[in-house]
Amino acid sequence: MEKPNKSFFLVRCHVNLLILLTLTAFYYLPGTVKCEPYSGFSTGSERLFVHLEKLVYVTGESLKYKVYLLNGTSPDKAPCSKILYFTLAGVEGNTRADWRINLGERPVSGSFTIPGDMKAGIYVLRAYTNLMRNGPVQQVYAQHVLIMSLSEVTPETLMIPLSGDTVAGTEPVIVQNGYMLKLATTKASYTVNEKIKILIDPDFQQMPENNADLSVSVSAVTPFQELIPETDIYACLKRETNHSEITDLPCKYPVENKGFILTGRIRHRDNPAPLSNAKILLSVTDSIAPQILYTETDAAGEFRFYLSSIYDNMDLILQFGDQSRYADYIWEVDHKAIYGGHLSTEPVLLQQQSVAFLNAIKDLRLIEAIYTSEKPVMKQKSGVRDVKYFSPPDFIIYPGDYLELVNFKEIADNILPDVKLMIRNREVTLQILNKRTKLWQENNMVLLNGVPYTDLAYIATLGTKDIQRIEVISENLLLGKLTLPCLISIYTYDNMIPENFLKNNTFTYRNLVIPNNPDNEPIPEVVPGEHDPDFRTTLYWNPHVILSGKETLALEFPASRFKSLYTVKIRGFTGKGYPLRADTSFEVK
Amino acid sequence: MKNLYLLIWLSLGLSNLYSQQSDCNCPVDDDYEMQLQTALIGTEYHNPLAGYEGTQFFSYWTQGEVVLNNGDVIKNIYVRYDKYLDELLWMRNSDFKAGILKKGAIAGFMLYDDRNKLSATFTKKIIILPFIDSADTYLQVLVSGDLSLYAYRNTSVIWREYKLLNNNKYLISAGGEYHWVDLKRKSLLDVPILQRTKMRSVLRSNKIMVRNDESEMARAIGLYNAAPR
Repeated sequence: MEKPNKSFFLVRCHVNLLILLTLTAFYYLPGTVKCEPYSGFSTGSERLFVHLEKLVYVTGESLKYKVYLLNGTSPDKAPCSKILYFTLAGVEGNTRADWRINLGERPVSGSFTIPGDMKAGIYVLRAYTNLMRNGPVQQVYAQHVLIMSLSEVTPETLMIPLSGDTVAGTEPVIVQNGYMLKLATTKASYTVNEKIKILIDPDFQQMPENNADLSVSVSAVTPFQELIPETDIYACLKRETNHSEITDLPCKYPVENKGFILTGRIRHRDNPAPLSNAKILLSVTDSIAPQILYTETDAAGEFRFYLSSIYDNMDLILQFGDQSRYADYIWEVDHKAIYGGHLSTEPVLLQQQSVAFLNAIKDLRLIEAIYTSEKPVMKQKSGVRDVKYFSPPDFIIYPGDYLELVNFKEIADNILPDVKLMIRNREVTLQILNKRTKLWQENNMVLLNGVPYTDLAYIATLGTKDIQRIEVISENLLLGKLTLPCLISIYTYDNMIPENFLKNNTFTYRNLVIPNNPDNEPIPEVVPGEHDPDFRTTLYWNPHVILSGKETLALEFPASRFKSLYTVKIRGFTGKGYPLRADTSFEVK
Repeated sequence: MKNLYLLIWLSLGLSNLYSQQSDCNCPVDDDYEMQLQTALIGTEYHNPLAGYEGTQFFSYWTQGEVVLNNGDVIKNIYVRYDKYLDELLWMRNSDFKAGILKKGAIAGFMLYDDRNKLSATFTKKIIILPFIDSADTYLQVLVSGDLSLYAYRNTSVIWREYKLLNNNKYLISAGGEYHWVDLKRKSLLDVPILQRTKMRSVLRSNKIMVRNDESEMARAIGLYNAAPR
């Protein structure tokens, strides 16, 4: 047999190597959208659609929503972000409201009560994740809504935005045509208080998947459908116009896949000079155990805290850890609001019919407010407490168990053997015996109801009547770069921190979170005539309709006395992330 | 040559695969990992046995990874395991102070050697210690499988002689059951959660002498797991 040529082998090797390199290059080219914002951000990593119960509201009403956040890279997988922000801003820039919710593995629903002081007009409701803030504002979910104020006369003209604030994009979304919903009512018209039945038929044409998460709204048709169109579910899923442009964007805002990230900056009051390497403590008022976090500012004076849900709906108290005042420096916290910029508007004169409708819904809102009993507010389960880093203490004292002691010096002298409080020349000092070194250590900071507190003169005034318990840790604590020489935790009966101290030494951030509806909350059944008169304009809102299997799903609800044309809107996604949309209408005569 | 290409191709593919999380393609937030390192909380460590003769620590200060109960991993910190206190120590970079990390927050930890190679893995388990009650304890994982072997690295003190004695104990676990075992053939064969005949066959066919030999005991358990049922 002829021996193969050596150069033949060499050529083969080079060809193979070339193929390998070409394949590798294709594999890593930025054309393939990957959710890696830190190496080259792509806003394609998350897609958002919000189904609203209706689009016209009166102040004091609840704006009910269902949130569908999709992993843009792999729609069948859970999205990365765990936090969603809402902004409701008037197109004329008059008023705005911002709120935040927590996201889960599955779509969530909830409601926001429209504040009574909001002015009447067209508003833009935007919803976005922190990750989406890196992209253009047009990429976030936006929907125009009309809000009427009970305290104002119904306007005869409305300022309507000229340009659409809809989701940008040119490439159409890939819609799997095999997934369709058939929607029908049993009749074309119903009488007041009659039971209405709608039938949802999943027509998935032998597609492999047959489960879907849907939301259903049935509300009165308004004369504003053309002025305020509903944001299209398909449009929300559009891809970016230009991949290369987007992947080149720097990633300023990180994905909040662990929880809420509190970010901020400390700078000089008079100039933009940042305060770098500052040691910062975050604490909350707590009657059980201190929950203190530590961080440092970077060269730009920026700091970042990663917060679990136990910090939800608490006042976060930020202060310098090394007890330095830095009086010339100010705190700036990123409120994560999106400002859509100036919208060009034009006045639109409302027709008499439209004004009459708005007056009617205002009247109905008053009637509903009077006759509908307030539902008890569902208290969301608090998250699991973080690890108690400041317990167990070496000893706990309940001053109430002893004879009355009028101030802290008496308490220290009589019932706290390892603690000394001294007052010399009006200066208060505190010393604690370290159980390891057997040395008395001076400590200028105590924890008052879980908050680092340095005003020892105030502490000296607290007596048995004020203090519920005292916990003492008789060894040094390492907290980030700080060393706390032993520690006294004082818990008062009123669980308060003096306002003067908070004002002069700390920065407080209200960490408000609107709770979501519980997953399996039953839809309250409306019984006709339950409250009289029943003039509901939204006959049905069910944010959690699960389709599983291929059977027809029937939903029933009663009509109200409000005679109108109604639309039934079903929005949702299959488990693999394919959008579903179906509409129908009926009349109540 | 073909194999070499295949290896390069596979390694490129795998590196990409493992750079992402399996559940969702969430990016790794480097700042979060940094924050975990800088925000560590613990109590300052004072050696209660300074000057005692013997091995109080499992190793010298080494690079380690600490796995927290919530799944977060604190990487690139210097750690050390104190066998007497059964506590994990970490060294604060800024001033080289040593602190005790809160055991309640930790699920386990890994120690790496000078060449950044994994040298030991510890996990936290609630076990009933001899003469003590049940307690959260760090156990070194010697073998992990159907049958797992753990070492309880303990040091006892001879106070009068200023000496420390190694008092290692071993635990075999399967299906949530734990049994203490000595480094003896009989003790191993008497463990009720293993098949005596199968273990005997493993010991005999591989000529394993487990007496006072921890590595041979680990080898026996490993071969037992690998052997057909």
